[in-house]
Amino acid sequence: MSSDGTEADSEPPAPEDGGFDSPSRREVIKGAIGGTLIAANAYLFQNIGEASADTDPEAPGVRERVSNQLKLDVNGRTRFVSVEDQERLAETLRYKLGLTGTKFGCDRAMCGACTVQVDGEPIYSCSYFTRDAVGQEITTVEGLEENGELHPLQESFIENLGGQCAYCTPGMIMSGKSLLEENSDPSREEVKEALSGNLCRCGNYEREIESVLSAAENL
Amino acid sequence: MQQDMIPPLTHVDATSVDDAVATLQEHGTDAATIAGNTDEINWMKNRMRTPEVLVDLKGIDEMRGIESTSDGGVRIGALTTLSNVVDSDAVNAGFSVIADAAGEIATPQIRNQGTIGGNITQDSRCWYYRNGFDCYRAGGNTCYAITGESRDHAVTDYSRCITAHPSDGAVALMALEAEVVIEGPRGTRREPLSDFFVGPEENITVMNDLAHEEILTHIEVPSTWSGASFYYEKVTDRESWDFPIVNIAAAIQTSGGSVSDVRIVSNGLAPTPKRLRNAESAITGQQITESNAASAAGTVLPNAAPQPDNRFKLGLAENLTERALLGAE
Repeated sequence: MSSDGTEADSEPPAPEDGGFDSPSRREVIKGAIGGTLIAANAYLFQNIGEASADTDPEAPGVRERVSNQLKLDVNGRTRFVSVEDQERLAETLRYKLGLTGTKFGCDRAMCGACTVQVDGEPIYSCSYFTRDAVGQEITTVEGLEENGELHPLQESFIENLGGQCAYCTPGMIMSGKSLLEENSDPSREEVKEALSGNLCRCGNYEREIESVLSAAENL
Repeated sequence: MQQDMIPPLTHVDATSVDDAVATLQEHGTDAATIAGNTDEINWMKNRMRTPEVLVDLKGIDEMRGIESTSDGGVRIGALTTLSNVVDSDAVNAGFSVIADAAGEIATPQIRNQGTIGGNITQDSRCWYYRNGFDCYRAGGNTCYAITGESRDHAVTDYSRCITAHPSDGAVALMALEAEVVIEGPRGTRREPLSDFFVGPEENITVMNDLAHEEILTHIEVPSTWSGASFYYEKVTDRESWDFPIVNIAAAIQTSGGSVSDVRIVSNGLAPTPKRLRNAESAITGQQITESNAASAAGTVLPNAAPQPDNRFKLGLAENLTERALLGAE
């Protein structure tokens, strides 16, 4: 797109986020998110359809499926959610509670992007059934800020450039938080061990370790 | 980036071991058992296994926890998480090699979720088997690893299937002569871990003799090796976390400066945890000196038949044996 003022009249107005050809990057991202939500919803309704089509009187019917509400304690708030038996915590957090800070990475309990705390211990929420978290405290990265103030670990990750592309950052922060809760003055080796279940495709490990170490000093 | 939703299923929380066994009997092969659920769930995501009923053992309290037994041993509930095994005072008091091994399993997240029972009953990690190839283990008629990539596979004791046993916990427990307690439709049975694991010549589709309706409830470690000298080491491709290429656990008892009894167990070499009996008998009765350790380690795998790309495991096994004998404390 030309930035020459004389041609501007014949051009569509420049998109807000800075000069990409239309459709703008923002629109593409919105479209992708919408598409994912539609896909997720379609999947959930498809289950209900299947359940209602089931003629086995002993099988759970629509009512049981739909009323399959669980009471979850997420970031200190009580949330009631309809949850399928096979639904995983990362799915519930992202697609039902809108807590998209928790990421799906590998979806195979290997990369750690989905790390959240259940009763203070880090687990892979991509491989943890939501119903197993009933009665326990779930903490996601959204639960770290208090009264508009970021958690010292979050500040530290910003300060020390702990996030490069930052896709792994929420998981890294949750693993780091779990470490600092048990050990407020960890050694570099202990930090490496605590973050060993979190992969960073950017290879930004040095700064991630640095971020946790400097957060430990500031806590 | 959602990949595979798990198909609909019914999740049943077992309330007791008997309840779990009854549910498994009722649903037969439509049912699968889960506990820590760090592995089974990924088979389901891959649609490689599509159980209609999941029998969840997590709620069975009698299968959880670690206690010292009256005779000085330790009894570990199969549902105990690996993190709890690592932190257990009863384990660390006399059997620290179990905690050393459990501490090197996978990642902190998986150790918080995964159980010691699941660790020793885990399935093969062969990438062909896990990726849907119709190999011997999957009921087919060939082994893709023999003609393909076999770097992580077995070098000895295999038969058609060359998978290597991947468990870290199993070698430590087997070095201590642990027994497993199994409950099933015909009541309770117990057997030493060395009989529990099944090689492909006996049954090529399984890793152990646990039947579908049976449940591993406890692992019992006798007092025999309490306070002995221990060694554990795991060699992996990556420094952070991985399955072992080869791991080794050793328990050594000495009297009057020479070895009175020793057990060395290694994984990554055979389809079942491999006792290195040659090295054990070579060092028994000897003093542990550098030359004695080196000569005992020179004969660890007499019947090895490696593939071209895993021949390196023979040297690795010898070096690890030598280090275990010299480094046990």
